[in-house]
Amino acid sequence: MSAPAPSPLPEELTVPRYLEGEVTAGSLDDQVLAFPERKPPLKWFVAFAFTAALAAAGFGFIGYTVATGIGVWGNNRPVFWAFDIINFVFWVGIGHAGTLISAILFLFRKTWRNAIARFSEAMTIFAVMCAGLFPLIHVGRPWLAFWLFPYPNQRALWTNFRSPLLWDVFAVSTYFSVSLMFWYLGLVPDLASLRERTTHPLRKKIYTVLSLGWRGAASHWVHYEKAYLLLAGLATGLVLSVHSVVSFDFAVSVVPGWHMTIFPPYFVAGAIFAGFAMVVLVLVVVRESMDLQNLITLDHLEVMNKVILGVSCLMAYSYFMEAFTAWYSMNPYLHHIFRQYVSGTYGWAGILTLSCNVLAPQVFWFRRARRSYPVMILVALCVTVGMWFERFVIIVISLHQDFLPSAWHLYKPTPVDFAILLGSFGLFFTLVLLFARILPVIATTEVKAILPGAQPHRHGGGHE
Amino acid sequence: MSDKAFAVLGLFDSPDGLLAAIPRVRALGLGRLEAYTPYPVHGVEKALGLKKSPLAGMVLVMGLVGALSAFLFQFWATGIDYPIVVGGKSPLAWQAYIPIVFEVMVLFATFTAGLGMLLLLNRLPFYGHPVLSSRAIAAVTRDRFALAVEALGEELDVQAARRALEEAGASPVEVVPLPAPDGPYSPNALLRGLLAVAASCLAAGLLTYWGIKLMPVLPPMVHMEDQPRVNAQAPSAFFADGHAMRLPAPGTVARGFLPYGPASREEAAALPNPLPRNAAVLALGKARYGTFCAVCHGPLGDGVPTLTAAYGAKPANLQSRTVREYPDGVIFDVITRGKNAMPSYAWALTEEERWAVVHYVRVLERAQNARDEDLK
Amino acid sequence: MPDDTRRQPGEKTRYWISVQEGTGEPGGRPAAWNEFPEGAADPPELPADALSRRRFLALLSASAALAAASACSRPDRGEIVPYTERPEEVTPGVPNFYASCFSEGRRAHPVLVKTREGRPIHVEGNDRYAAAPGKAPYRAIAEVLGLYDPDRLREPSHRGKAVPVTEAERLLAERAREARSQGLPVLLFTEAVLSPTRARLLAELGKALPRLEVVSYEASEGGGEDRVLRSLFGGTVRLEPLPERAEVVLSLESDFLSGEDPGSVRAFAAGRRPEGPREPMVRFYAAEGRFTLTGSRADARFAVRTGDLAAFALGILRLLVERHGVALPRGMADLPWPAKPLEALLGPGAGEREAEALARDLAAAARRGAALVVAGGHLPAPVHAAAALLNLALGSLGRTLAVWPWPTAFPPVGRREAEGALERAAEGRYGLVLFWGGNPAHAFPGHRAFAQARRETFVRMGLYEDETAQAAALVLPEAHWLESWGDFEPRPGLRALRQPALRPLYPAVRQGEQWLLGLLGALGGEKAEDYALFLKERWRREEWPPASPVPFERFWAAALHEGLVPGTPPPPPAPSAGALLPHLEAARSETGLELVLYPSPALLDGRYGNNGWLQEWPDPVTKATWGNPLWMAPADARRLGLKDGDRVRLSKGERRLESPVLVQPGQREGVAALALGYGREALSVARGVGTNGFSLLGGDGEMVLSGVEVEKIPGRQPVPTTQTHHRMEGRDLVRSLSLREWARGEGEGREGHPPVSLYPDQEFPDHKWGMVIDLSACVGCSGCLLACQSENNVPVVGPEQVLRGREMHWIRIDRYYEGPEEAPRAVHSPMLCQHCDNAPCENVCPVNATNHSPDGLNQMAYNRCVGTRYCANNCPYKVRRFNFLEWTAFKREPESLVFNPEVTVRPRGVMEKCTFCVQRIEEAKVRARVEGRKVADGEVVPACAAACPAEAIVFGDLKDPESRVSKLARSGRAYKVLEELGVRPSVTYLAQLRNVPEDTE
Repeated sequence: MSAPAPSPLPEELTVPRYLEGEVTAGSLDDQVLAFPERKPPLKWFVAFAFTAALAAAGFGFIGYTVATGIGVWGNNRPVFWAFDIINFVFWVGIGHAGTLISAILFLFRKTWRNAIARFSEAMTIFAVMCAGLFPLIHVGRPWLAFWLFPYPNQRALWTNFRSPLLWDVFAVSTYFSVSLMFWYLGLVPDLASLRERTTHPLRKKIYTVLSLGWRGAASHWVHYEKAYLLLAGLATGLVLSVHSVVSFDFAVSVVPGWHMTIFPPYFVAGAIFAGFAMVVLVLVVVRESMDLQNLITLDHLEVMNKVILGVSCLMAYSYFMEAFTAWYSMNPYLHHIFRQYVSGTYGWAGILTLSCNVLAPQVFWFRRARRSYPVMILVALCVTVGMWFERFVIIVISLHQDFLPSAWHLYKPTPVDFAILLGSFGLFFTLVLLFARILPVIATTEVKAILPGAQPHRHGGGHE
Repeated sequence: MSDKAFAVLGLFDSPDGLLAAIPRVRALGLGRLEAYTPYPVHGVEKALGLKKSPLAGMVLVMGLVGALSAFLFQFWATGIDYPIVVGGKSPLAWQAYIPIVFEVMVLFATFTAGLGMLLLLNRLPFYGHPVLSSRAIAAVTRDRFALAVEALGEELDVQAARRALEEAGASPVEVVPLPAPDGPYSPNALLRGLLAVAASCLAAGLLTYWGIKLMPVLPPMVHMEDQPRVNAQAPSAFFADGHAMRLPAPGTVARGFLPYGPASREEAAALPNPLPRNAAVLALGKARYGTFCAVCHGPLGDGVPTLTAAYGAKPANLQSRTVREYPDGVIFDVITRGKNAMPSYAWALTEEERWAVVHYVRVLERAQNARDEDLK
Repeated sequence: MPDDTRRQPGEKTRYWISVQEGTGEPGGRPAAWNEFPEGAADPPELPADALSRRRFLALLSASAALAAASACSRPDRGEIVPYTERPEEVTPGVPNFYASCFSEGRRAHPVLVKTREGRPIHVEGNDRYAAAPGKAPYRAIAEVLGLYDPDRLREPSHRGKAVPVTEAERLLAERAREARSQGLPVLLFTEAVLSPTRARLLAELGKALPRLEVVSYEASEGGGEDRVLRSLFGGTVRLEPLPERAEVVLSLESDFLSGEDPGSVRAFAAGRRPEGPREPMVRFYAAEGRFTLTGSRADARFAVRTGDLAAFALGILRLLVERHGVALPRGMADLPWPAKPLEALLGPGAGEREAEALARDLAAAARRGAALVVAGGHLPAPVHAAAALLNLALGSLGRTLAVWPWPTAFPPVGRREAEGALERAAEGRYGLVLFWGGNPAHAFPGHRAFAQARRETFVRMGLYEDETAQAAALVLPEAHWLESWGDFEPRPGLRALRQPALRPLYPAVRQGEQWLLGLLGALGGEKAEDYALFLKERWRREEWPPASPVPFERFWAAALHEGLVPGTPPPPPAPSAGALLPHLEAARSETGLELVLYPSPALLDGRYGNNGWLQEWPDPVTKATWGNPLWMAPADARRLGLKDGDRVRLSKGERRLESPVLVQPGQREGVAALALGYGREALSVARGVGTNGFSLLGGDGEMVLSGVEVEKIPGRQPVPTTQTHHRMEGRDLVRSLSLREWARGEGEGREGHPPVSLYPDQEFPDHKWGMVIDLSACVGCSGCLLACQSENNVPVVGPEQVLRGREMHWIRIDRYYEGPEEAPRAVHSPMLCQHCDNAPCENVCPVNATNHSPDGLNQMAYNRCVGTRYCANNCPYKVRRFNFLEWTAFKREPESLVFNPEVTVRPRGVMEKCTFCVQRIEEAKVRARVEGRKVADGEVVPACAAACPAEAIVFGDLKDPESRVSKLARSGRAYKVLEELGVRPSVTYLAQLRNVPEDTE
């Protein structure tokens, strides 16, 4: 599919090439691999200082929480879980876009992914790092959190393999290590290029060690491509399973509003949704600030927005099905909770969720909206907020009024809750900035492989 | 340039050039052919006649191994090693194992794919490969395509190879010497690096160990081994005498501990033994006697101590006529209040037990002074 | 009782003395026979067939080594401080029980104090007390916390400077001598004097100080009742309802089911749990303005303005006389019937038909002498006069109503007299003013007698440096009642002894009588160095039956052992009905807002203000903690635009008060209510909680104020309540049936198919512990909550945390309203861990910290808990409690002395919940194992069940089909909460029964 012959058709009807201007392998390297060598601009330092400060503050409050007890949060009886788990689910969700783009789109041979795969994979890893933070700090005695791992111990006691939380432990840690592996494999050839380019001795050493002495031998590429294909296949299965498992935390319980069979697919869709929104947000910034307009094209963003539109419709369907199931169940407790989703004390959260996740993305039916920065940024923000509040609705609203009215109680977050939430964003963007600073933000090797004339003419080129 | 060459390497500008050159050079059979490209160029592997990658099989096997081990481990841990009833399920309820089985399967499979490819099949990391020190490598990792004729064990015909490559259209052509000179990645540099890594791992490990050992007992991480409650025999910072255990207020009567009634031994003499003289009572009496009395009065009650009395006091001989003629009440009273050197045993024997001991003493006496009719 | 077998030896020792103590069945085991509780190795005794001493020691050392090994590197406080000489009755690790007596206001209640190593840790009722065996008033249960209150006075002080005891005694005597020499009167301002021996001491003191003036005043009493009864019987009497003999009960805003008197709750509940729908059941009517707990249990509840209650009672009497031929007592022929007709008094809810039914039922019951009318102590004289008249007409006196003369020569006086004395004190007419007990400075806020601090002639004798103490120069620390001696008359003719359960915590602390004895001696009166001896001597002279074959020492010891000595009740005084007329004429019915001031069920008159347990104890009706919001009727609140937590200013004349509002369904429009006892100005816990209702009280001590102005003022003050939603939302949670509905077979079993499970049923080898809670008996008094708190070391979290919904009580009493909010029906249902067979909490714990025991307990391993809180989310009953913050670890002695050593003290970050008192279960199992038998039915009694005055909670082994709990669980009223979830709870509820009058349903 790469590099078709130029056609007389009007531009918008042609298959976008996801490249602008003349790009050669060499120019690509000079453009992308040069970043790590250059001293970053002032704006980078400003941004970094800001996000790092945010992260530091967040960690400060985490320290405060650990020292004082999670009573400093708003959690109460019956709302035993609140921001902590909301943030966890939220970040894990963000983490899904990367693997989706790099794995699933790879399997579907969508070559436009190549330019943005590296970045979204990195975001996956950082998001999962943020997510992993919350289960750790949300427990009452974090210094014993390691008890969640089944390691042989003096008490001869094992963990409870029937607990969805334990499934989480396995799913999330597996997901993290697999994403890391996937990301690193992709990096190796680029690191080799960097190794050969850099003159700075220390950097050269580092890149040398990291690139494992990659030399691009044909005999290596054979195994490399096979490995990449397999990883993509496995990661696809994994990415679907991970958020399903996360949804089990709720689906497996008896809490009305949680105990829903639709949750696994619904959560996966939501995850992809939020993830893509976040990718779009970051891509726009990167594209502009790093002058990558020719590599990350509007076509890329438009395709992303199409996906967002599609998944948004999927979400609408999920919401509807969920509500329908609740209504059809004739279960008074469920009926009550679903009324609370859109009315009652926290009804606004439900309304907000619906409008952000279902209504806002509908503007993407219009091509001009799909290709306009302000619109896509706005929608992406909406989706991010909306998806966070979706989790708020599911967790807090379902908990605050369950079976026995005598135990009902309202939930009110504390400043510490917000501080830690912001802190997690700070951590995420700090990592993103560091990544953009020291590693190639675009998988040059993969892009080279689909440049016009990159493959011998007898072969169609692309990945076959 | 040493005369011993590892390979002769020629650069091409386009994949097509490379692909066209391979069959021609290959036909000459000068040595092992290898191509170096910045990205996978399709058709090269066929032209070079490389075998397909065995990775898929490895991944399949390891994936299954992962799944199986996960299942067996959970089964063993929850069903066999430490069964715990949870939510009314039988410890062997396997349905809940599935998610973890899946995750572990994927974990094993991916690591096989990734590390298997790098470490096993591609023999990486390998920093000492001659090509890495060639001039061409920079171009190869950028946008040029190299074809190398490498020595197959025996001497490589450098001239022939150079000629063949030049004819195939490669330029420039470079002879990669052997062995490769030490680059920034010499073996001992690597060794040092590895050592550093190992050392840091060790340090981290130790830190974690001490952390886990110490953390839980450092405030604010309170554990439950030291609770604010006041246990029996605990010391006290509050009471002046340092005892957390207090004495009951004088003159009070706790349930089940009516104070001892009789005022004098004479009054006590009138007490009848309330307990029946049956096997159970005697067994109790025997046990108590053995525990508390025999030490001084002797197992037979003949006043011969089991511990040779290192002190002056001479324990009473319960076989003596005087004691034999004591009414039960008197013996009971002696046990209760003590006599001469003998302290009170009220703290050790409840009233019931004292009466049981009295019975037993009677039995001892009778046994030692059997009458004729006993023999019948 | 779990400790029955403990008492056995005590009973065994009685074979040889007297018939008077009754006989105890032989064969029990002495206390020391518990092997496994800690310190168990101390009595060096083993069954004859057991280990030799050597092997025992070998094992001991081995286990010690193991312990050391498994303790790895954790610092271990290994220090042991044993007894130097162990007292006979104390075995470390084994509790002792002391019979003692709790007293409060006009009531005295025999209790049993559970001590460990000579320190009280729990209070239960005295099992020998026939009126309420084993049941203690809930405030008595909470008193064990008061004992260890760090705020308690520890040494005497003069002008704020600590002085030695001798110096304090000298100062006291000096003041008294001066007063005597100057011929000035001496005022002793104290509480109701119930104790005969205390009265004797006061009499002695009176001889030494001729001008001694004793004013005994109970701030929590309206005085109306006293006035009426005095004129009716010609002297102060004590009135005790005996609901056990009643068939029809009418309560006039009386809270006799509050649990302050377990006896009446028990008796009432006994009549409320018929075996079947055809069995007889007590019918209970209530007429009240305030929504009382008692009223909430009524079969028919008349919403009547409190001021109209007298008219209501007379209206009923009129019905009785005119329709049912009930004769008026002699001399009442010209009784003035109230101007207002009965129907004009009735508010929403029960109406005329119920009123007629009430008259009919009363008349019918009266023929069997089984009618009873009770009136709230805070009500004005006319209501009590009308109530007395009703009781006379219905012939209740002596049948359903016990009357006996005040046991001492010092009857309580009204507020007017008390204030008079304070006035004189303020003017300095007294040479010495001794404030003993009570807290007049709080009960008479802003009274000029307390305007001046550290007044030289004022002496304070009490537990705390409280408001009153601040006005006195000399402050004498009084011993807590658990550290004191005394004697009382809880029921006519029944004598109860109080003995200290421990020596005073602080050497300089003495009980009040002890200080007075010192004074008496210094004044040259009778010499007795010790009040215990004084008490004993009085008993030798006056209580010991002259012709008794039992030597006095033995009699005395037995009396202390039992805590009770039966005697002959004094003859009931004869009433003279005519004396009621003047009181009746005072009957008035006014318009405008009425304010009902009533003693707080938690703090009474404020004396328990520093007790965290009672402060956080949810009010049984409103579920409000930490304060006394103003109860307002929904209609009034709407009119004034008030919501819960809005602030209002109350004004009666120039007296003003500001308080937050709580809208109380069922409260009669135009009636507001405020609990007394809050708004303390001293002590670390009590200070600043709530508002001081006494500041509205007039000189006449009238506790029902009419024409009170209420205006909304800016600002909000949210009320910390433990229940924020009060309706059942049409869910089948708490079932209540009328007898007729029950007869029709309603409310039995559950609708829908039985829940199915993927897994085979669990098997329980030995036991399957379970509980049955009879909602028909439960009055919702919440005493169980305090017993649980004391037994299980449940922490106090404070108002802010309660507002956040983080209170820790292991058992809560769910209270729901049904029907219109003007006249709702309230149901109460204790909710605790249901110990489900298929417990959802267990499935989700990632670390197996909560799991199932072989005998059916859902158990928490606190040590394993990392605090994911998933279990609590997944608990449909929301009975799990999480330590969001550190509430215990920092506790030091004396506070920490209150902890039950048998129960883990949980730190922060750990989940906890009801354990069915597993420590008591294990204790019983161990005892049974040692004695080689099975655990007997009823041998295991959790703290809640032990404390429940209604005996609504039954615990036992569901595996034994003959056990009481199994039988009850098969009852027709049995149901399980949320049974449809299939979690299979081990707690069964019996539907609440209502004996609704015929033709009113």
